[in-house]
Amino acid sequence: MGVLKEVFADSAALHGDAPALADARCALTYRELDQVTDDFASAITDWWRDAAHPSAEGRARVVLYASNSTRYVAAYIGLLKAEMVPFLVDPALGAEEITGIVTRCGIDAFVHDRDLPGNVLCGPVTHLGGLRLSRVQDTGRGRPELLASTEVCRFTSGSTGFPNCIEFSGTAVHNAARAWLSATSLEQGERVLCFAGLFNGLAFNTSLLPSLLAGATLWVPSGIPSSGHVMRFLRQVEPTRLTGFPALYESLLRRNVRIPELATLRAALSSAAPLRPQTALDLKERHGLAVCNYYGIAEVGPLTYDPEPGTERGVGYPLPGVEFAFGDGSDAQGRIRVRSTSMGSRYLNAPGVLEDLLDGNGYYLTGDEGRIESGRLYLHGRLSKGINIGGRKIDPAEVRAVLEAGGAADSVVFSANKHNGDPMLVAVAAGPPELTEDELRSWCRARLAPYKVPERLLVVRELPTTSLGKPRMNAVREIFTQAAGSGF
Amino acid sequence: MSNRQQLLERSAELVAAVSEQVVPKEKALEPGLTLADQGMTSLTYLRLIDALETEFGVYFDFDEEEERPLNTLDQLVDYMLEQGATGAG
Repeated sequence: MGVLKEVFADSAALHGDAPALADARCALTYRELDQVTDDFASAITDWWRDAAHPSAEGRARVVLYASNSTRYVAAYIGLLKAEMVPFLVDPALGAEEITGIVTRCGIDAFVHDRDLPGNVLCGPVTHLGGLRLSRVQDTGRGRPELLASTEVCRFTSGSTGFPNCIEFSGTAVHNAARAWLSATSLEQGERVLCFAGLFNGLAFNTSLLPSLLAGATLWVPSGIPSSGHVMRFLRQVEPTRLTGFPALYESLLRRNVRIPELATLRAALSSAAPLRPQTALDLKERHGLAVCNYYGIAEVGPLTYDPEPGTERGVGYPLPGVEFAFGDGSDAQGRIRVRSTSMGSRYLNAPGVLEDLLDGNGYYLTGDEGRIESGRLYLHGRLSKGINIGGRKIDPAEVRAVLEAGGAADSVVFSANKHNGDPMLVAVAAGPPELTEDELRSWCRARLAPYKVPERLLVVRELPTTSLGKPRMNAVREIFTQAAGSGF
Repeated sequence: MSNRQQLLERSAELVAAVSEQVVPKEKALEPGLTLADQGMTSLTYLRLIDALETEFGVYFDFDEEEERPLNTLDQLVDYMLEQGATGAG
């Protein structure tokens, strides 16, 4: 029996008629959630008995491709109860990414709330639990085996040109939730309002299982976190905790009204991208809100928390089960290495890559630099070449590969700040005279998640290069700055 | 100029402003294409929604988005018209 299946059953038995889960259309008690997820598990087991390809082996691998909702949570728990393996995927991903995930991870089926990009499905669509259920075409090829302990798979942007699929044991997911509960004192009866996508570590590790373990109510509205939308739910739910990316908090500041519900929150969480210091100060000054910008890594789990966050106080104290080391291990600061009891096991679709990032003592080598001072972790900067746009990580190699398949001879992808302070993704591509920026953007749009499509795209005849033929980054940036200044 | 056209023109100006001219007003007024197709990112779309709600005193309910997509400028303008928004501000 899976660890998480048991955890959810215990939670239902413990909290019974307390409110468990809600969105704008539906509210479920723990007992009702248990029943709904039992029904989902039973129905999908029956469906798979008939729909499975003759060659299908092992536990069914099912991608959840949907926005936040009570249906999403019910499907996730239902899949665990059916002893299937849920793969939690960003519903913004495009055709290229979806096709890559299906083939590299050996996906069997999708539970989805929208049409899928690409052409990976076959057979009729079945409706289950308010979502769609579709079988994937049989590729007839072998697939990588899952570890016996794996209960959930999630994705990270990777650095190899495609999203890496992290295998998590049920114990690791449970440990992450228990560590979070212990550090944050989340209690029965609290109301957690979560606007971050449940596929993302921010929501998955701090809100989904922790809320249901504690006996709290998890609110999962769908839609973008515009100030109007967030304010509506703040007033309706009167949450004790709020979970969202920095864009949510910046959106609230654009509304010139008092939002008294913010001052009464016990915790407001942000992660994945730094909250600008001025944003944090303005939230404190205008709304009495101190946002906890904690540190977490997809492969290692949530790592820090500060019950009394402040702009000068770093990113918080290590969670239970988290150990940091710096540099070669004897240094007080430097490149951060970390291990935890909630680490992923490996990348299903990139054998050996995660293992190579672990040292002999099981510490994961991060791309960040920092130090511990007075027990708190302070971040100094990033060493890796990954790009972070509003909390979404982008592998430039993946974007370049698509640009170059679309006709660019060479390209450089980087981030730059707009005048309003928002980060944007920029591409400067070398190509023939007939290659237009609109065509190249449309090519990318058809293949990549929208956030991976360069907001500013400049096509030039050739890129300035070093004597080794590599693009000279500073010169390319200068070309872009000049072009942007002239409005292209 | 009709109220709808006034609303459309002003909304297109806001698109150009929040996108810092990635989507100029003329491009925003081209019918049919989604704002994402025109080059607008999700962060800029969030800024646009905030700007429209503030200027026209409307509320976009994204829980209705499954039945009522809000991907094009025309869709946004029609949604605002149903809430009584006027282009005169």
